[in-house]
Amino acid sequence: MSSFGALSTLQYVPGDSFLHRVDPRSKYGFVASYSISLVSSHSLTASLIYTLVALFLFLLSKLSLILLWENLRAFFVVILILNYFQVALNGIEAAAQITLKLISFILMVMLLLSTTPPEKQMEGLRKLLSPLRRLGVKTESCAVMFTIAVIYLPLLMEDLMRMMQAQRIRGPRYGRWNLAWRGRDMISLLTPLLLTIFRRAERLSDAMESRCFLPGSERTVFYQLKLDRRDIIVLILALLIPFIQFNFE
Amino acid sequence: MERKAVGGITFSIPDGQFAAIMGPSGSGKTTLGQLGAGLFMPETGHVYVDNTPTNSRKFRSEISNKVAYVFQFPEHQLFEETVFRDIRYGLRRKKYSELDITEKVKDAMECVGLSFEAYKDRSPFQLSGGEQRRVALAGAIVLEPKILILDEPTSGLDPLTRGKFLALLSTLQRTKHMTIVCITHHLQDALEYADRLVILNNGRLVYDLKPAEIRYALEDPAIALVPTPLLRFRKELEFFFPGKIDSELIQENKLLAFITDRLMRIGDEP
Amino acid sequence: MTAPGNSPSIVFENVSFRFSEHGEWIVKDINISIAPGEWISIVGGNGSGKSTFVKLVNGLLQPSLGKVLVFGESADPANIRRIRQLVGIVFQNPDEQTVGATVEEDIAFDLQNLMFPRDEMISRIDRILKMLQLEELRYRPMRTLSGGQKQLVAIAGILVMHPQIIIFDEASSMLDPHTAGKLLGVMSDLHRMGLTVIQVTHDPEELWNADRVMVLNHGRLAFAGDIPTLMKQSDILEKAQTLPPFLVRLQKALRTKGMELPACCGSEKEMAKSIWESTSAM
Repeated sequence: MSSFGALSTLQYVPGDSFLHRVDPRSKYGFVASYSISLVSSHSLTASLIYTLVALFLFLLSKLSLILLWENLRAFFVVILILNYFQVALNGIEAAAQITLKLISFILMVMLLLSTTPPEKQMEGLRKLLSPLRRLGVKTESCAVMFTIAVIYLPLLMEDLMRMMQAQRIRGPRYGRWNLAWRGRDMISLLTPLLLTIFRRAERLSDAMESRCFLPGSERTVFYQLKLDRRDIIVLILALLIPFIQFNFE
Repeated sequence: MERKAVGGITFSIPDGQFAAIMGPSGSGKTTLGQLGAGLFMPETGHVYVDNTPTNSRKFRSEISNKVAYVFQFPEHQLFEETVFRDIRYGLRRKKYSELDITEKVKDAMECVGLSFEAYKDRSPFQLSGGEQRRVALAGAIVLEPKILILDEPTSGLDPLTRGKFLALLSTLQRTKHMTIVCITHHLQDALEYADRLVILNNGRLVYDLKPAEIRYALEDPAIALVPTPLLRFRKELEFFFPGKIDSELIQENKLLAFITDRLMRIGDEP
Repeated sequence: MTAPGNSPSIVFENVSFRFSEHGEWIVKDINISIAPGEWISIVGGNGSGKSTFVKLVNGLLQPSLGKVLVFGESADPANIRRIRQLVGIVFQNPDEQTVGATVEEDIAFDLQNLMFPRDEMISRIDRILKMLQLEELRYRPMRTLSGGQKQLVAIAGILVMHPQIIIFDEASSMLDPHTAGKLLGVMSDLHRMGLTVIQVTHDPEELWNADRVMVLNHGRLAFAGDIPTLMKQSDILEKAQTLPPFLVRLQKALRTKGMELPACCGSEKEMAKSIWESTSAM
């Protein structure tokens, strides 16, 4: 399909690793627990361990190193700036810590998104939200909205990419640093992009309504997720993570 | 496990030719067109435009002056608020005077059959599909390219508008000596207007024919080319008039002329 | 074909539509009655009102004047769910009809909206997958399918509601000729099963399958009748920004050059034979 720059890291990469087979809810639970512990830790050693955990999971996912590099490269500038400020303000150890934390976090999110296809993510979110039904929230309707957004985002990205291509091909390129003109170019894409989004939305809503969809009304649930042994393992690990904190603080 | 979109293709298109690139969906037609326009760089091998390789940074602007690409959907390449401004978009960085620019835009619009006065201030987003395609075409030819690559230029158009658009391309080929490369899956359009048919399948070039030679590709079950009514009719006609139906007769008016001029006179022959 | 005496499936009574009080009429004074099981082709250039007509049938648009009746029921908001269960529409763009992440989910969409119990949903889905031979695609993500496959899934998603009328709004115009042909085959199968098939199309060659043809010209019904009648007055088509099929064009052109041939019925073989007979007789 299409892969362009930073956004390619958010795309699903098909595979058969352990991580691919874990239920999305377990992954969400693990990432949540991991992130919270990561953010609240204060020692360099703990950060190092978190990074190692992330790297270990990366190996487990059998994803390519190139993907990792592309991913990190996008955030390179941010990391550099962050480092600069940290070294200036709080010393090298703080800088190292924050770099490790940032890298681990990016890595975890990337792993989550690359090993879970959009449809499974939707299932996961939907199931997680289902307790809200008791409160009268129309979760199925919301689920439809989420699903549609997930399905159509790549399509809109492709539209955007084609428009940018068209811009490039029709005239000479401005230098990387010629921000004024490049800004203008970006803005001129706004009208056609919005138009495209509206038109697609209109046609899509026609299709949905023709299939008896009435926004906000009740729908019966179709999907059912099951947890298996793998997921139990992951969930237990998720629960264990905070203990790393306690040991090293 | 990446599949190559296009693998191992070698061919060249001479100046002033009208070539049609055909093949089933996913055969790599669009990718080929994009490679030709310099939108992508090949992983292996080279693409040359007018003997200049497309992956050379030095000649990049020269190449974009020589090749123009028209996308499949006009909404991907119309940006500006008025038709005039959209067509002049390609000239934005050149050092032309306002007067020159107006001349060039007027020229381009007239070439595509859009009246300058009537259309110049209209918003491109409110035009019909056929008109939008003409605006996109004008925007491409305003740079006076030598090569024009079009991706499915007639998709979604009604038959009358389709014919007019293709006739327009043909005129451009003749009057401005442009090389036209048309990616399409309308076989009859290709037979009527193209000098040459290049057929792809699974990223490989499988046929490179003159329109009159289309029967070789039709007989190949692997590419599943759907014969047009005209071709089916020809086949039936061959059955009743064996040996008389020349293979060059694959265009409507030629076939009609043949039937009226030659076949109707058969009764006159001794 | 059409069985006289059956109550019509769709009736348009003096229907006109425009978007606003001061706008132009998109369709004007449409009067037509479509019998159950008929195959109707609707042709006309861009802006002729074809898509508007389609949306008036299932209530996506409400007529400004006149009435639209589907199996005797008026297509207004009170009956809308029932109408939409009876009338299914397959749209032009395969990518813009996807409503589920996987094939199974996409097909289930309608049934979920109609509040079917889960077991009933599963059994209907099983049956439709079998009927359209889509079983192996069941768990595939929609985004991995080709255009033609997506259209088939859209059709499945409609058939699963057990509609009586199915409308194809230029459903094959974005597909390559080979896949378009397959889709035409599915349409024929559905017609044979007794559904009313309405086919909006640009392609003149697709007219041959229809029982009747409606020609729209700037929102007005320029013609509604069977194929042979239309072919005798084929300039109606050209005036409506579209073309007659190849064989009709050929026949017409031959007539101007002095060769009279019997009415063509869509077979290239017959045409070739007529020409041979005609030239042999000279």
